[in-house]
Amino acid sequence: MTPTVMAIGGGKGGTGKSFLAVQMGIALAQQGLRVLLVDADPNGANLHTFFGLEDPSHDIDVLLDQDISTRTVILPTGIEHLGLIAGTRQEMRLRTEPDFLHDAVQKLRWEEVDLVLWDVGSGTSMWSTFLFEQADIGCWVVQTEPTCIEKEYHFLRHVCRWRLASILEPEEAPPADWLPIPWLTSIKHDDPARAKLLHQQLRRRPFLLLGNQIHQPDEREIPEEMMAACHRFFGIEGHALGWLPFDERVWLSVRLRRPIVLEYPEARWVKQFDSIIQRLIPFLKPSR
Amino acid sequence: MQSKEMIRNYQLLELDRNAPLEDVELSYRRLLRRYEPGGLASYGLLRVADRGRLLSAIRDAYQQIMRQSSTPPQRPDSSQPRVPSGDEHLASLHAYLQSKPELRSDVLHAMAIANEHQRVAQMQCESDDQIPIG
Repeated sequence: MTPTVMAIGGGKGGTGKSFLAVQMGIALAQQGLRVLLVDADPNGANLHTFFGLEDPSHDIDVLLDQDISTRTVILPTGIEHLGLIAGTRQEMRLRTEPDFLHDAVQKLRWEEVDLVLWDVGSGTSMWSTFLFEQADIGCWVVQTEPTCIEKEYHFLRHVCRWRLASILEPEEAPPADWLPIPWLTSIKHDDPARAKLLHQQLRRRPFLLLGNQIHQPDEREIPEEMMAACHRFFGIEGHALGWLPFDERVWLSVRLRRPIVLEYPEARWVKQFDSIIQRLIPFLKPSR
Repeated sequence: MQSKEMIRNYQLLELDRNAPLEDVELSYRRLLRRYEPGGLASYGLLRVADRGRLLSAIRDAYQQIMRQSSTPPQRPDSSQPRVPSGDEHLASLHAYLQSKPELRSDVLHAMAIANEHQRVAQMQCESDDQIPIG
């Protein structure tokens, strides 16, 4: 059986990716899916802390560095159907050789579950981008402050460049501040077939977009609008899953090191999160 | 049969050429909000001058569609979620301000800065003659 792999990433740190990965893992395991949560954040792994685990006996570094099976490093979370591969607490020994990256994906795409969630961290490092693009679905978590939105556009430019890298000729390299669709419009003028091929490459895999820590009612439309702008200027297809409110209970649950979906099931955040999960489930059905 | 110019107008509003006027109104408001100062496109997506020209082209397209229409535009269905314009966005901030008097001076200061950004952006648009994007 082939699991669905969803990577959770984005341009800016602190948007709640790890927090959401944990809550999604629990909520989907409670729906009966067998879920493996993987902490692949190279800059400050902490998924184990959300479960109150202080000193994980195994971590992702052991799995990637040694010739051992994935099963041996999976930690119990106390939640039925949900396992965890903890991230390394050292600086991750990131390697970029193709063989290493290929083996890493094979090990992290564990076939004995229905769903694998990769928390790939934030930013545009090769490791994070590689995993984000290797997953079947990319879940992009954003906040709506201006500084966050700017970083997300930077992230999108990077993902687009990554998607085109394998088919671009050296003389076609786009400028640093490019926007793919206006850039493709200029190519289309001279070579429509080439522009179509490049556009297909940009659209090869859709995003799911989720706005987190929303304060004001008029910010709730921003994920939908960002997705529209993403389509209009970057040529990437996707779906806005919706928004989640700012809620003090989130902070409290992290302080308690207890997942909010278990600790505060009546919280405003959890109520809204439940509807996000219902919207997410149809995208997780294996399509391959 | 629509002219090429009219088809382009609908494209600028990101609509199918047969879109009803209600959709034109909704899309126009949505795009104003996207491209106006403080909108999503102003956070490093487009250069100020490109954004200003696109906004101007969208306004022209909207006005041409409305002029060509023989019937007055229908107001959007009130049961549907409606995207507020930039002015309505500011009104919503004002309402929020009323409920948080302790933030009043900070928000007024922020709005003064936003107005100054808008004034500078307008000057840059007017002084730049690059070709519109897209």
